[in-house]
Amino acid sequence: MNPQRLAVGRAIVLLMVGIVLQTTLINRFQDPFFGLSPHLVVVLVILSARWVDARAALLLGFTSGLFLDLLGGGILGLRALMLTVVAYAGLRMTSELPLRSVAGVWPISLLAEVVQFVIGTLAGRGTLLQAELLERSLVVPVLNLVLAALVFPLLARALRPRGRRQMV
Amino acid sequence: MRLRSGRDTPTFVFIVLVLLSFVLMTFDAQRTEQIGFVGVMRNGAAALFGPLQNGVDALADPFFEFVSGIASVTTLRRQNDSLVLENEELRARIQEVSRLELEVEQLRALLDLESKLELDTVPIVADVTGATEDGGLLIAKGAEQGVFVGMPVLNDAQLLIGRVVQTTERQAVVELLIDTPNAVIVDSPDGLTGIITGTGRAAELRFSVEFGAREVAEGTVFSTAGFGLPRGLQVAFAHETLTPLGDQITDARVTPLADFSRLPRYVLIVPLIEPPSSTTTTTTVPGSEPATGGGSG
Repeated sequence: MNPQRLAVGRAIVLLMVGIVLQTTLINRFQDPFFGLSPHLVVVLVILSARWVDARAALLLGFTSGLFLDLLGGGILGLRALMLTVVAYAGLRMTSELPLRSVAGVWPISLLAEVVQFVIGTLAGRGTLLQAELLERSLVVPVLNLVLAALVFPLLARALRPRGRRQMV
Repeated sequence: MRLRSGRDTPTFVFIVLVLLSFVLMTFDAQRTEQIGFVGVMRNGAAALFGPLQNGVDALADPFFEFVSGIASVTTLRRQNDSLVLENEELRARIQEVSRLELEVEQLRALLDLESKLELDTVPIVADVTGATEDGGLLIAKGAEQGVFVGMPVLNDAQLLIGRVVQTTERQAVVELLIDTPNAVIVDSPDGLTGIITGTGRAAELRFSVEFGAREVAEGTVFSTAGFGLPRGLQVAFAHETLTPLGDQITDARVTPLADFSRLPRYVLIVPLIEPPSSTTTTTTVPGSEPATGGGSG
């Protein structure tokens, strides 16, 4: 099978697992992190952009966001937009160097928080002046960065083309 | 920096997807998501992920409770110290509040204003399977079990924690009282009516009175005043004395009675005996929607 297609198939499965874990476990585990939680789906979308085709990465981001919108009670399309932007930024910032890819999670997560707040404010959900924006912008990107460092090896095993894995 | 497939194709796809997202937001703004194409999509997503979410929740719940308990030991110790002090203070006020409540009940009985939350209303018990990105609750009961948009949701202590804002066949989403756009009309035992809004924080709500405000004593408990919700559901209390400015109270800080710092394992959904449209008032609250409107309350 085409290694690119295989990588996309595996990325779809990983993102589905990510959505389930995000909505069942991670969103609930907020006590130690100032009432906030890391965003596994954002991390997966950013890191997947390293291994899958650019268009597939964008579609994966959009679809993941759409599913989060459909499962939640928020604005339909908000997270689809946010994760599409995340995927695009992931494509722009991804690098052959693993460390740089992981480090890129921090600024992209920050961008995701800002996009979410701007669109949320435009759609009448809260306001940009909330103290929550500052808290989220400080905490969530750092949590995502830590999470990215943890899941990167797993993603590398699952998504790296077989030929390249044997070479490295 | 690079683009794997080169040229402008990814940028074009990106622009198309961004536009598509805005189109979806337009659907949402028109509140058509409960029916038609978007309703089918929501049901499909729930059917796809619902069983997985239920399975993960069932497997991970005991472990999660354990880890969550350990993680919050320090917080709990600190809270415990302050609560001991607070408890002594509040105990002294309970007697006064009880006396006032009794008096209000007697007055209500005299005026024939009984609570619409009838005792024979059987609440629907629903397992909480997770949380949405907006901090709402995902619950494992939906339209098939009689859960509909607008129904009030209580925790195990029978305190109001939110409202159902979205339902699919077997799942529903509850928007919590503390969520920013939420608003509930409440009254105090001495008859002062105001609006409580969410702040996005677990231990903080805002209380406003548009006109006729008077001083609210510390410890005053606010309960729902009807307007699409059953009357008499306890919502919050005044942590300190609230002093009006002129005849208004604007965004005074009050404390929710329910504990929002952790998610409940199950919730009680109260079926509305009377549809909200049959209430005698047509008052609209900024930031709130009628309970049947399918929106965030």
